[in-house]
Amino acid sequence: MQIKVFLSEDEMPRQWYNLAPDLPTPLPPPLGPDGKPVSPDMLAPVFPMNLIEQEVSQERWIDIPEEVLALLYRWRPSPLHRAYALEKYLGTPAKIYYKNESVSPAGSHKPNTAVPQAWYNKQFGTEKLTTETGAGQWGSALSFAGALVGLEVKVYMVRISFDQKPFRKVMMQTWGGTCVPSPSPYTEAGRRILEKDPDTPGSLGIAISEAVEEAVSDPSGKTKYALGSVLNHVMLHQTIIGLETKKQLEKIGEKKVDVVIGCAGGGSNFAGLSFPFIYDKINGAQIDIIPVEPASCPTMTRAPYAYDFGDVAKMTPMLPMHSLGHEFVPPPIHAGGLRYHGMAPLVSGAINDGLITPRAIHQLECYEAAVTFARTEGIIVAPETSHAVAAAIQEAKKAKEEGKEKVILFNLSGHGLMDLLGYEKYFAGELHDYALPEEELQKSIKSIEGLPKPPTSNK
Amino acid sequence: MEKKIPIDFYDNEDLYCRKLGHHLKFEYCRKEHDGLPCPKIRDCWFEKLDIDEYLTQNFKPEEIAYIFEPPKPKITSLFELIQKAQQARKKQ
Repeated sequence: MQIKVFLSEDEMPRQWYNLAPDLPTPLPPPLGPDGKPVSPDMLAPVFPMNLIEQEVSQERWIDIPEEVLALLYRWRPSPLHRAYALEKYLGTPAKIYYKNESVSPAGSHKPNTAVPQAWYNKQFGTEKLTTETGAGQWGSALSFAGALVGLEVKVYMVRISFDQKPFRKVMMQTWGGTCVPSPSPYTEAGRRILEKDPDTPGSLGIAISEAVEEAVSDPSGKTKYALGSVLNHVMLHQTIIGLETKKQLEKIGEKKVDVVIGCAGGGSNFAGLSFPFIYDKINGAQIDIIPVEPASCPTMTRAPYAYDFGDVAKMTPMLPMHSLGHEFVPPPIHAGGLRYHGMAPLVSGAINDGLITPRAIHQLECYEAAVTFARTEGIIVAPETSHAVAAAIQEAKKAKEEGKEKVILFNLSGHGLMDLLGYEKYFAGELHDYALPEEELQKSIKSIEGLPKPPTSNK
Repeated sequence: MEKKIPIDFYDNEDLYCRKLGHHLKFEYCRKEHDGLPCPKIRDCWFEKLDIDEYLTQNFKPEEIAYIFEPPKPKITSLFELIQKAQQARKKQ
């Protein structure tokens, strides 16, 4: 019985996969408030050109520099697990595999992009990276990456979190990151807030403003900002997950995967596992590829694909995204990191082209699945990851009903050891399922009628 | 007319904040967004108190509309922040 499949460092993929050139319907460019495409140069004040080139690249395969691979070896290749215990518990004929991204030093998939971003910045001549953090996951991942490449990292951490939540701060400090409470005296945005209220506890919005301002304001251009979600180059870096997985499946003789599953918030961990399999699907493979989201906030499952204004005032640039409209107010629910208004454009494009089939699952089912997983496979998954676990269990049960020996694969994007409150509330019976009423949905959809629509696939 | 709920009535109530990742007093939540309540205040508090009634009684409809504007996609916010920072730098 082989429970874990490992790759050696030599067997690691040498290229990332870029989905953009393979989408049957090319991704439309982001639009500004005037309806005209936004130039990628607009990102130049905060991102180095080598990352901007990746952001707009139409190359299918992009080489992973040997130096980056050497850094990723710290924890990669990550193991692929066969979930025998879960299969036995469910009594399913299906084979369930999961790619374990919780083994990274930061405990999630985030370092897969933090490390290359830090390296490319270093090559570009960047000396310092700034970012913001609330709970501290991305700040930790970037601090870790900065330590690996010898780059100064400054993390603006919301002051109340800085004061009250020491563990992530200590992680950042341990990796050499400079973690400062926000608002700070280091930026105009911070000083303005502090003048008004010296005792302010801060907010995530202020912290982002400070991180961006510091990057933009450095006259030497050697300070840049790093983002851990949404953008194309972030998705690109994460494809190492799926590319490794394909090699691991091949190594143990699995010739065909039937179902690929990932939870989808901003889209990066889902993209990381699934994009290489979408490539196979584009080339004729029969695979069900499922991004999973909370039933209470159906960004992908029930909303139309539209160019969405980011705000009610309609003053900011637009990106084509699956969206419930700019007047959408999400209903109350505790759903961890999955509460995003918009999905990554590449993921939206894959939905639009019929390559992936989003699914929504209620949170009680997700926590039930996560607990089942913890009691069989042993890993306590992050709340967001529980959506993928729940979908995998749904598929395994379906395979049992159909009597089919399907191969099901999902991404275990992170552990939940720093985020156990959701479990506590679940055990206390304090969580509730809440579905968006149809009339509220229609009202939201109406608000984006009349906006320019992206080209649609002929499929 | 119903008696108004004082704005600081729930200030010492305690809840885990999903946005920041630790426990907070309600006092933070009602000031988080430019001095107005956090956009997630309904998400977090609806199970413990009548948050909609509290908001209706203590904030104007236009303030409530501002609070519950949906969060912008990160890329969109980023463009905005770059522009803001560039303008601020030019003024200096």
